Amino acid sequence: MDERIFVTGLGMISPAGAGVTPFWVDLCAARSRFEELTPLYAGMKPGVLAARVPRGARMAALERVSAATRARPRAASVFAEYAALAAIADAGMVPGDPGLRNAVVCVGTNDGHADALENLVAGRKDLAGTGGFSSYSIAEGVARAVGSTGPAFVVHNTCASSNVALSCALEMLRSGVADTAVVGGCDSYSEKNTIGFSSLQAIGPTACRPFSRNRRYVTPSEGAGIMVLRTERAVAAGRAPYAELLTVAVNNDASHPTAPNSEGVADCHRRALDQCGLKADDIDVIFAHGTGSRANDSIEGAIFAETYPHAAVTAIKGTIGHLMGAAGAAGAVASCLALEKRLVPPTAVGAEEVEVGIDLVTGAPRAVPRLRHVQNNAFGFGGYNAIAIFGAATREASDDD
Amino acid sequence: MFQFNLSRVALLALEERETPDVDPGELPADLWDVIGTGGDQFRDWFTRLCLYMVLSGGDPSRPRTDDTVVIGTEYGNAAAVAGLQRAAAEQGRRLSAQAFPQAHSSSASAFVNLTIGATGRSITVNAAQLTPVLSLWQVLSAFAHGRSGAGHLLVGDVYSAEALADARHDETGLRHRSGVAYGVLTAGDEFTARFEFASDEKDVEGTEGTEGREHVGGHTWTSDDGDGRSPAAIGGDQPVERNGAFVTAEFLRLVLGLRPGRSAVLRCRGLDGRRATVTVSRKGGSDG
Repeated sequence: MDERIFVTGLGMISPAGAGVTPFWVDLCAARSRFEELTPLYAGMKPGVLAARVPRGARMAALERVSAATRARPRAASVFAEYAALAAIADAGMVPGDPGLRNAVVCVGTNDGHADALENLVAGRKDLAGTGGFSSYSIAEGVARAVGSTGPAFVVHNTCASSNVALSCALEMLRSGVADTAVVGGCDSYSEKNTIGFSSLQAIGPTACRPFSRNRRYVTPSEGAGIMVLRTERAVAAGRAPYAELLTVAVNNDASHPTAPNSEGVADCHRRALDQCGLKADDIDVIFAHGTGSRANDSIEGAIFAETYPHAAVTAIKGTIGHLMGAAGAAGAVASCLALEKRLVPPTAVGAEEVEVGIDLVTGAPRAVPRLRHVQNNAFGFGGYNAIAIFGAATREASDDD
Repeated sequence: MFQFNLSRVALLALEERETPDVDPGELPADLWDVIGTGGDQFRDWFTRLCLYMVLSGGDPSRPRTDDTVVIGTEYGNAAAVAGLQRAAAEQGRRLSAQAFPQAHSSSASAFVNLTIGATGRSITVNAAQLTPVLSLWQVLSAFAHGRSGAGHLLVGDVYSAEALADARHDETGLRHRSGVAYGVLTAGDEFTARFEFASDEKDVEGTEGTEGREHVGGHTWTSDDGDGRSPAAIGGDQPVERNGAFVTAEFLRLVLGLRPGRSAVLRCRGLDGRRATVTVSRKGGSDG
């Protein structure tokens, strides 16, 4: 039997601000903070909406991170290190804690140090001024910040990156590499992404409206979510974990560079259930990928309607935007909070505009007193699919505490 | 402990140039025949080399599989990412929507999956100098969980001008040559692999000092169950490459050539003091 892995700490920075609390408060209020982007090139239309981490939150994060990161702040590192430090504090640990010494550090990101490379290419800074753009330094910085000398690495799987990172960490813990992992995802605002999504006409002047018949655009966003995973034997006595990470399924559509494939996405759902021995009816809540694009929401919605008719579905990108490589991390943090609070935050659309026959949570947060399992979906360009399933944290080991 | 079989090893190395992403030098004569030219103007050389490696000698009529694809790279598709930014500035409204899918940090693996019809696990890994070991770990973990029957391991970099500048900024003393290594691994029990992760903690903690820096990068050798070491297999006096392609190919070739009961070791050490080692042993021999 696989070793049980628990989530013991959460850290978050998002357009809602620095910390898990503002993130959860905005989710439950369905309060978005979208703003218009300045066009970046001649082909980009004005009025495109996006969500940015507010200046106050950036400054708060900058004060927490290492001096090396502060000296040449690249947004992805600032976000990831802040979220990691918050997560270990939430787990009752301090940097250099013995439990962190050989921790696995794995960070998912699509754009890495996009700002550094973009500044270099545009001639705004020289290489020394940018701090460099190899994405590895994100994981290295997180590892140094938390005091881990264990394996540290970054994974790139477009918008599925964070869930893939969770998968890598889960497998390393279960194989005995370490008892602790500091894992999640980060992405900062990327000119390249804005240009690219603009070229696809996938971003625009109306906000992301997941599963709405009026949906049209993705709303890009930024931030980081990090969680502390621990093996059952390493979970500190007296501390209640948020959740148990049961499995993460990863596959690839191998179908189209940008469009999702219904069979590939459905296969990832099947793999996730098979890997942890659950049935679709065991899934009580789904944090959908829910980008607000026609293609994604149609495919996801059809799967939910057919296979998960009893699950409550929510999509948080209508509130905090699409955090790209960190989107799965935002969903994972929200999933753990939902399990802890037995509460599902609403999707920021009206009940009357829901297109497909799914139980989309709208309006007020919904209480689910007997919440057992929460599924967190993350899919990305390139056919990447990754689905994590979390369970309520019932620990047999608590008898020994 | 992981188990696997190894069926193919290849290395494609480019000449040492300042801008290999623009001027890669001599290329395989059949490159375009193998990878095709459709949409090629949007690819960078890293994606082209990865596609060439998986398609060369492969069966184009092979049906879709649950194969795993793992690409280990430090700079990956940085050339295409930078290219998209430049193209937007130069072309404005004429910017093609086909450029964006090629300009992600994981574009190469996405197009490898798409091209060979691999629907299994797919990951692009960056662990700096430890990338070869951690990438191999990902492939073997997929076998251990019964998720794939075959794995395509690609490790390497094609340095763009920006990537070269970034890599040289570290002042590692390592050589920067472009290339991609390719290994086809399958589920089986011919080989066992044991991984170790460790660190020189002073370096990890950022303490000043260069002790041991001469060992940064990847090294590989064969051993008699850890008792001996064959210096001849390390690569003699050749400078150590930053690009993990070269040591990965050398290591996989050592593995392929192992006699029963013998082992090959790949040890990688990062600038930050982290170390990763994989020891692969061929089954059989007097010690079983």
